[in-house]
Amino acid sequence: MAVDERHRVVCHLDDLLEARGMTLAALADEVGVTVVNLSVLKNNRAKAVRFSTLTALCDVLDCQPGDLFTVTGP
Amino acid sequence: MAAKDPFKFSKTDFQLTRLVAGLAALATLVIAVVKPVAAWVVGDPLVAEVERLAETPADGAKPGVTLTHGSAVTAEFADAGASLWLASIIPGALFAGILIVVLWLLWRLLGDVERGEPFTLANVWRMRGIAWAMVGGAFLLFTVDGLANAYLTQHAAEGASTMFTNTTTASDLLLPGAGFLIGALAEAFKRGVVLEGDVEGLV
Repeated sequence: MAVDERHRVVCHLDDLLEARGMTLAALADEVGVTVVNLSVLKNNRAKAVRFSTLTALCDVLDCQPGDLFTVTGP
Repeated sequence: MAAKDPFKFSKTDFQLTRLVAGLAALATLVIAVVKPVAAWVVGDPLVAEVERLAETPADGAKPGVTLTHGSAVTAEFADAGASLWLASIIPGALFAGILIVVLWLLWRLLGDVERGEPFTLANVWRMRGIAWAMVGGAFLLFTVDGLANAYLTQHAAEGASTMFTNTTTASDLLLPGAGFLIGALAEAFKRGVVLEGDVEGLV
């Protein structure tokens, strides 16, 4: 059953990858999650992010959670 | 590496469960419905087990009825009418119907479990259906059986005027008890459906 939970969190993974000249597949490989899951995150279809995934993303991309996500206005 | 679960259902286990369920449904249908209906059609005498006749002497039978006292009392109606045949067949047919509904829902549930998708709303409703069929069916069966037994008894023995006759034992509570248990499991499955939805979007 799909839970209808609308959110306004926008993921900036695309911009960060472009700035670092990195592909999604390479990031997925380094972070240790599947490309499919990272694609879900990149396209703002994720409902939740594990702290462990967030930590690994920030380590690999050398950024902070605030660089990855912003919340748009209501 | 995780230890192998000896109770994990394999493909063969699923197939065997389906086979047993199918055979149980078929056997119940044949014994409870097809056999008595065939006897009715070919004009055999109606032989029915009747209760509460242990005190009735064998010669207290109504005309055209032969009572046999053994571990149970059996009444043989030489020329039974449609109402007697129906009273004899309906409890068994009801039991067969309930069993087939339960087994059909279980069959569909097993299909989803085998595909690795047990936590769906459809399965929650299937489990609720099984629970309702077992709890409601047990009470319905008890009532119908008691009324049918009394009807057969009235037509088998002189002076019998009972409206309802049924013997109950503690084991009769097993079926509704199992139904309540499955109903509770359905609620646990409902929680599983919500959790599954959460996990689907977790990265």
